[in-house]
Amino acid sequence: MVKYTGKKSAASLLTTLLNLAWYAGLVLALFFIGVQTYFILSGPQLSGESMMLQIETTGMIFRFTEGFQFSAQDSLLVYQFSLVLPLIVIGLFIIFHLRKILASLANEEPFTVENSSRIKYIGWSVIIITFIKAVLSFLLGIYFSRMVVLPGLEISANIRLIDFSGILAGILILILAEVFKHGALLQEDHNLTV
Amino acid sequence: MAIIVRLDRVMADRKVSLTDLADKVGITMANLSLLKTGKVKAVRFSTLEALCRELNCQPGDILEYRQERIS
Repeated sequence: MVKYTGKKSAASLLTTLLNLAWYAGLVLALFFIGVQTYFILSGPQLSGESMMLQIETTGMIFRFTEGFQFSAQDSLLVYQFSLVLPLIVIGLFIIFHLRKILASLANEEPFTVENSSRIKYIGWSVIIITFIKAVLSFLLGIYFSRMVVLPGLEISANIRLIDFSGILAGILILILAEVFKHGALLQEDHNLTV
Repeated sequence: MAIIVRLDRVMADRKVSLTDLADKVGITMANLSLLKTGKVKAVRFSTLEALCRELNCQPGDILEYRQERIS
């Protein structure tokens, strides 16, 4: 049978994996910041002729080898990394709290006020990430629609309505945080009963 | 708290040490120490029963109610 909490359990294995993800994420974030800073600083020297534009959706990939106007001032990479960076930061924030929660599960002390707060932070992060994604993908859409100029092809940015499943997940996590808060109070009562 | 734990007094009368009592009652020394210093929120009837049995006393000997002054 699978052991979920305690030492050598699913929780402790996940803690190790999340620790790895945390450090990998930190390195990745630093790399992105570095690359982004480099391209912002050296942006005006970029030449559009050797560039290629690729747009990926879930089912299709559009590749434009010519017919798009590349303006060096607002470098594509800057936009791309602007989209990725906030998500990485919030993702790291979530991983940070998740690994603390899982570590407490591995120590078999899940019902604490700290864990309740951590779950609440994760819930809000999920909601915020949904909004950021909606806004940024719209901005990215505007940028692409301005860049690609092909005869007979019309591209327009789509205001994607907020992803309700993300908000729903966030609200459910917030409710779970309240459940944990209640659990923490019960745990305290239990601990202080002899 | 208006309930005061008089366990230390009863233990001193009976000349019982914390370790011995914890052993006989079947609770940890840490918990018994918390109870003695009045840092607990609740006492189980089973614990109270075991304490009274081992110390040969009444619950009233261990617990005392003192009205708190309302300021």
